[in-house]
Amino acid sequence: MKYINLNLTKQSKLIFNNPGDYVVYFENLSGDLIFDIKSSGVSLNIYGLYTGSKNSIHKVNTFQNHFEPDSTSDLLIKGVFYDSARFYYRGLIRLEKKAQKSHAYQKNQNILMSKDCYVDSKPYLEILANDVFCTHGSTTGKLNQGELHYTMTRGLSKKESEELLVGGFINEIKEKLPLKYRY
Amino acid sequence: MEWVDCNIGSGVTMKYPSCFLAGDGARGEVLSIAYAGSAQHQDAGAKMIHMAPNTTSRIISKSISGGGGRTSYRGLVQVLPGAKNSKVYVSCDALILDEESRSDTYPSMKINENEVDIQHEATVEKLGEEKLFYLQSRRISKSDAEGLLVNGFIEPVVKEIPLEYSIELNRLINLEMAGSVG
Repeated sequence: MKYINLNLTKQSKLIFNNPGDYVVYFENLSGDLIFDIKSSGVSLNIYGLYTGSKNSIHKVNTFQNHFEPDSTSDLLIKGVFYDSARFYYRGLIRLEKKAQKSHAYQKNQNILMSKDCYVDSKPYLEILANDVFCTHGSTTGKLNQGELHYTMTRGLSKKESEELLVGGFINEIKEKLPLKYRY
Repeated sequence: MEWVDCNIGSGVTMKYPSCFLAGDGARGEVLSIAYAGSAQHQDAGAKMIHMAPNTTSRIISKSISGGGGRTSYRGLVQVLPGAKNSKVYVSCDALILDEESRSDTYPSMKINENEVDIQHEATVEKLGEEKLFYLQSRRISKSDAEGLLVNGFIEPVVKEIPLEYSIELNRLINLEMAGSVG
């Protein structure tokens, strides 16, 4: 498995010409991130983490372009936003006509911690092949109030509970990374 | 407020029924079916603007493309500041019948309020080969089996509309489908 941290490599376009397992991770990156899959047998996992506070603005566009058959890509982007943070996400999955038997997934989950933050989420699909499986999902909301209430009944303050739950939300990404790159 | 939207005819369709949820507790619902055959482009979708608290909306879109047709879902969900406790559920399912056809999904969600619950999901698939095989093993011809599966796919929307229209729609889709799947 190959691990690529886009915050370190500073690439905005990755081209996968060889089969194999790849894990891509990035944090708070703005701009276009392009993933071109030009080989069969590629299994690509993309994880992105965004945290915004005060007047921060993140604008990110991801592209999962499948040119060849029999590849898989799975993207998960999570965001936590405080104060008047703004987040613009546009993700595109494009499966070319040749890319039969591809699997492509895309998921964007956002937690809004303040009523002044703003999220614009556009998960797009363009499918030109028919023998494929493709899904995307997007959820936006506040912290699970039931969980928050439970941790507070256990003696944690509201602030501590929120930190705990946000930590758990972020950890869902962290624990998918290879062990030695986690922290 | 409920829209039921079926797009079958015409070459290029672009239609986005909209609901402006301006009163406290308002609810909007759009059920949409699109079928794009040869040389057709069905660009359909819905818009939901949440302007008041406790508003809920639901969009269910089912699209089918065959014979080189193209279907697109293009939608907008916007939650304005102050629209507390809004709930939104959007689901788009697409079926692609042959390798000449194309399906796109372009949803957009603009959220300006944190006391909300927004969900969107979409899937794109082809007709299940096992299901086709099963029906054929029961002596149903291939084209009839495909018609059955397509009608089953849109069933959740069809059952919401008045009976005489839904029978008409089923017939139309079977007619459109006849021999279209290669």
